[in-house]
Amino acid sequence: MLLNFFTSYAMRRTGAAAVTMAAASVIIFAFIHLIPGDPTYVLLGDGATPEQAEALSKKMGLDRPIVVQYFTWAVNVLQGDLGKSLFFQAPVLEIIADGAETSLLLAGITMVWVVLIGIPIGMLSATRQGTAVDQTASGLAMLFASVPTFWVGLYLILIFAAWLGWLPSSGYPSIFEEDGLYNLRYLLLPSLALAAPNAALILRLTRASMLDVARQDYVRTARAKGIRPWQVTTRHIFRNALLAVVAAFGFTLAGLISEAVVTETVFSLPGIGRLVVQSILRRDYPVIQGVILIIVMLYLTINLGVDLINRYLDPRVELE
Amino acid sequence: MDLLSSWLVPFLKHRLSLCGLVVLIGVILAALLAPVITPYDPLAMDPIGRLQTPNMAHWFGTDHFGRDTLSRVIYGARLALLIGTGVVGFAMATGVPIGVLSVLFPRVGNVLMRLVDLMMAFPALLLALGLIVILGQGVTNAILAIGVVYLTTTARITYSVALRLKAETFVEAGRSMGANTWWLATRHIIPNLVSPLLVQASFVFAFAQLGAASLDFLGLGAPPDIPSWGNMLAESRRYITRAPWLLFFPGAMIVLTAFSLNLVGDALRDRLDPRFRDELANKGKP
Amino acid sequence: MLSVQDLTVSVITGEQPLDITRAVSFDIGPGEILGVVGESGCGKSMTSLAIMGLLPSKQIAVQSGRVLLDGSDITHLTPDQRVDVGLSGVSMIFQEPMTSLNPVMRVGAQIMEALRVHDRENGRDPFARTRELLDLVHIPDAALQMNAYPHELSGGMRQRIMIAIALACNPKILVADEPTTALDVTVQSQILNLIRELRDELSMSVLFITHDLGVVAQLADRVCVMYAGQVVETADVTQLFENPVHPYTHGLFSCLPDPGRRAEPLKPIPGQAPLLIDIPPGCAFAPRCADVTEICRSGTLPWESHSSGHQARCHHPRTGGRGNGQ
Repeated sequence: MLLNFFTSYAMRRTGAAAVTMAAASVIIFAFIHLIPGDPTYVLLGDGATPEQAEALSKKMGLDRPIVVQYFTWAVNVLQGDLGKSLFFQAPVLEIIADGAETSLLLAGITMVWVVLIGIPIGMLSATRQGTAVDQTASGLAMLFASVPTFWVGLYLILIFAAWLGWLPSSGYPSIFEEDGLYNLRYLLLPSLALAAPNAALILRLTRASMLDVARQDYVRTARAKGIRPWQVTTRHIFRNALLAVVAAFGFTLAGLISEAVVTETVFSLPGIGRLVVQSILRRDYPVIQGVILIIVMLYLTINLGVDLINRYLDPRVELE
Repeated sequence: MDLLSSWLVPFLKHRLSLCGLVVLIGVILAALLAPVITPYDPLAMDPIGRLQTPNMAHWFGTDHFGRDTLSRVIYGARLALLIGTGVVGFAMATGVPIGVLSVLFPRVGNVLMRLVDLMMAFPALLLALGLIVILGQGVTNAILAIGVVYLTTTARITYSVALRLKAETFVEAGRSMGANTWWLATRHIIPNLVSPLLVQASFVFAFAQLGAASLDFLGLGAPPDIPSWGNMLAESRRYITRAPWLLFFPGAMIVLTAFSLNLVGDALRDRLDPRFRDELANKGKP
Repeated sequence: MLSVQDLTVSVITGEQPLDITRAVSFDIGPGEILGVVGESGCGKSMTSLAIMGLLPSKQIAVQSGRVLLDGSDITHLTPDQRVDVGLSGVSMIFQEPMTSLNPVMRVGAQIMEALRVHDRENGRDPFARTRELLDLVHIPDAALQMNAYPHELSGGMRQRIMIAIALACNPKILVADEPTTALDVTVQSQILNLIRELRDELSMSVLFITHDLGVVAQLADRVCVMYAGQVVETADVTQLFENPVHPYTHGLFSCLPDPGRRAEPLKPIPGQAPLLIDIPPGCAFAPRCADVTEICRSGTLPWESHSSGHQARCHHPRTGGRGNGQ
């Protein structure tokens, strides 16, 4: 019976995500048309010949109604055709795929830091509310939430790469290259810089929801049963507090994606974030459009996953 | 006077928040008095005195063109305030009406809030970057691009607070009284929005600093000849080993300003009606 | 059985601790149901939490006095410490069944959690015992409902689950803090009946806290009336209803609608209960009392017996039954 409730929720939630993605795709499609200038020349660059423009115009169906143009584009996208990069003269999807390994690994390692730092210290802070430990942790968390990621990154480079020489300061060769997993050391400093503000956020959130849950009536019920205080904390307070944290993960992710763009630039990592910045500077619009599309898709998918996990953990959750 | 003292209470209780307030006032004063208090012209180059370490003549040292870092940091406060004010102004001027109208006219509201949600499907910086691509670079466009990001959160918060106020008003007054829209808006919703939005404004101001600095750092914000903190960081990046102090001062200013604004926002939130505290706990950040 | 002696619970703020309850004393005999009546804020809930060893924060503590269970002092022991020393004879159910159950744990698991602590030695199977308890509190389809989450159950059902959890702790005394206030009237009487039934079946005592004299009349054997942190009158339930002596108790009765005298308007007690920070010296009820004289406004009050087991804290007790002395 329960599984049915969950399945039904999962289907509705997935449907909602699909609708959002479709709507977002309209905006992303419109993006090219909002850029001042003839869309064919926006996509082909100023050096394009009239013949090339003619060909692309035909492919995009520019002489047809805008709705038809959208569906033409959407069908191409669904077939994996995101257009061709002006700068690389290669399919956009291939170029994005080249950056995917770096960006996904960076995000993954960062999330590990965020969870390993944010949640335990947040818990500690809450259980020692008002003590020096709590005040230090909360103060630092607030400070780090106000520190630009790239500033942390630059100082990490200065200290660990330039002065101490322990770690590389920039670039990232794939783990499939020589040295294999050892190449992950290139991502250590970037992931720490990126983790700093996000771990701070999760720390504050964990602390706040632990304190909130600790005041709830059902915690008093648990105490009344005569179970150990640590069991009250783990089984009742922590489990419920974690729900709020899990629910907020999707939202942390949005911040993380934004900051990853900057972090990849600071550390010159060959990821999707740096790709989008460079493409903007190069006016490589097809790549910009493609990256936005892929990131939004990824973001919505992960958010969907987070919501499903949340619903699985918390039976009360319903769609708005 | 009573109103003023009621707002000051949370600051007097928490010394750290008071420090935040003082720092903010300092930054504002520095920005306003920049031409008077700066020891040098922030744009004046000095080819002989390049990359000086902090000394008596140049407290914060000089950059790779021999420009005085202290003077540039002080002028940077001007841009920081301009961006912050602009973003908060834009977000409030657009987000608040959207939120309030959506509550008053649920039919339109459904559509408007769906659009707002849709914009939230784009991670903040990506949305801002997309807008920069369309609008072009520059200070005004940076303000607009970041402003749109916070339009969404401001509209969301306004919407949820106003929705709550509307429900409460109806419960109190009873639907039968025929509570009319104008009366509802001017008497009950708008006055009660002031405090939560003031809190939201201080957070938006803080995040605008970080957002603008990121854009500048990427070379997509203020033009490079303008002394903004983000630009200063971007330029000094190349001299990171030779002149690490160049990184320190502008970065520290960003942190100090954003941190102070967060402290002030937290203090204001603590004096807020507990009904609205939850709404502002997380949603202030996109 | 359970004896509360001069219990003073205080909030420690600043220099001067504020007393929430002042020297509260009462005894509960085996199988007895003691009703504690008073307005909200009179200290009855804090008394019950103090008895459970569950005072909500470090700032609120038992300042003086004792709670004795079968002669053993349990005042400063939390429930888990009571388990350790074998004095876990007090269980409690709360006012809000909606929020008193963990929302993300199946109700069966929440009962079993208590069983694992309290049935550790007697080797009963927690699963079978849970079903037994659910039957005992009249939950139909026990096997199915064990797997339910709290939000899937009605308020009355949740309060039954709360009772089952309390019973899982093998109590000698059940403390019930306004367990029916949040429920519908029909559900209320079901829960009251259940509590009485369980008292008879399991021969446990009940400390029943309420603001509702009607509920007391239905359920209690004996009554304590509390006002501003003090017990002002205690008596047998029939004694108290026929012959209340404290003016405050009189006041409570005149707030009750009496079907026999429908024409008379209800008479609320004038004024408001004093705030914790300015409880008047002498009799705390003096500012609202019709019979007040100078002697009431200072000094200590007499705790006079009016008949066997009927005592009141008043200089001017009203004798001669209800409705007298208005």
